[in-house]
Amino acid sequence: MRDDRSQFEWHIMRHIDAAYNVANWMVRDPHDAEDVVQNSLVNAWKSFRQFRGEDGKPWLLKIVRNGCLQFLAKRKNAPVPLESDLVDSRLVDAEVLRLFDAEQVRSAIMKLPDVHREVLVLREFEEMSYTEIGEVVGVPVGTVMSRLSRARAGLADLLTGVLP
Amino acid sequence: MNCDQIRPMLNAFVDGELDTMNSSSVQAHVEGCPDCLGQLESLETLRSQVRGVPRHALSDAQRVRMASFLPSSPSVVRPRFGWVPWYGFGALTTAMVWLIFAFLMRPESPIVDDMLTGHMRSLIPGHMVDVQSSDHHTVKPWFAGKVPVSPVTVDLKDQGFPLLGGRIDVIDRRPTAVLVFGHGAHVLSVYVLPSAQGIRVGEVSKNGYQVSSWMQGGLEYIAVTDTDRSELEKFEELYKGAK
Repeated sequence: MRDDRSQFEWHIMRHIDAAYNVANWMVRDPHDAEDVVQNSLVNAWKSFRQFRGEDGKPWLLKIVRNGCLQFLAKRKNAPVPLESDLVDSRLVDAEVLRLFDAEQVRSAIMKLPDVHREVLVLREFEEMSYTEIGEVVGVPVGTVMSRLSRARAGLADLLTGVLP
Repeated sequence: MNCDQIRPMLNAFVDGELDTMNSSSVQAHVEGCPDCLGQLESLETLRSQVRGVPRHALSDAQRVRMASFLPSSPSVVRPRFGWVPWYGFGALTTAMVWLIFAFLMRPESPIVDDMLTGHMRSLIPGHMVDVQSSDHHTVKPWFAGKVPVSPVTVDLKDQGFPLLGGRIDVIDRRPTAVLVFGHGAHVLSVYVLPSAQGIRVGEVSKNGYQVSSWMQGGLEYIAVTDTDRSELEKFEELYKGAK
């Protein structure tokens, strides 16, 4: 037990900041995010025997993401939004994008569909590779790439008011 | 390659996810194509804008709560240095004790640095306490045999300072008792030293942390926290008053 605990602290507990950050972006409420992370940690501890000593971050974030999806499904009583059909992924000029402050960017990220927001958060805030993101979200690398480019195009559109 | 082939690769390019061959294709293309170069700049600007948004950060109290479900493991205490038997070396010891005393009385005591380091380290998840209990009748006996003091452990939950547990830090190479209290989103580490160690810290502010010390029952209590000075003073008064 003692060994398990120190292994768990070493591999998993060091990523609770990442877990909390991701959960906040997903469920959009700090109290709900804390609950989700707490439950996820308990689940992670219960299934720690299945951990094979790989990188603990994607392993934990996958559990946290599932916790977030379950929470959202309960709260909204609605399915997770599907991929949006963004036809043109052309971005506006860099000078225009530079005009926005952090709060405007934050609120635009919040308006992205869940499937786009999560890959953007994992990439930009958690600095994960496409492979790691694919592991967390459970999709192939190609899907990560296309979702990420849609997320960025959607974000630019939300910022510049093309999307409401 | 033409623009239609390059465009879908731009995201992977800024993310450093392209292989060398595709990466140099993109590089070569944008050098001669202002339009794609503009898209690349937009992408990079967007990335730096997103990265400028603050992350959601955990408070100290949340860290404690989140680690609280783990089974506690009091057996983990392994001070790196043993208890040094200073006594019985005669005149040499006396001289050394004086030297050490002078050293400790410098305005910036390294002992305070040890305590600040210990406090900060304790904020890493899983390192807050070695014995986790809000019951001071559990915490006090836990220290017996591990440290050369028997600290006054008090219950200040009703006054807003719940006892979270105890741990042992190595301060000045000696295993030292630490009582851990919560206060809202903040944590207080209270170090308990034999008065013979007499470091007389007084009131210190350093790197955003507040330190305060007092004598009680022949022991020196030194509290380290990131809460306000006024809250720390309140805590000190409550601690001294409780029994």
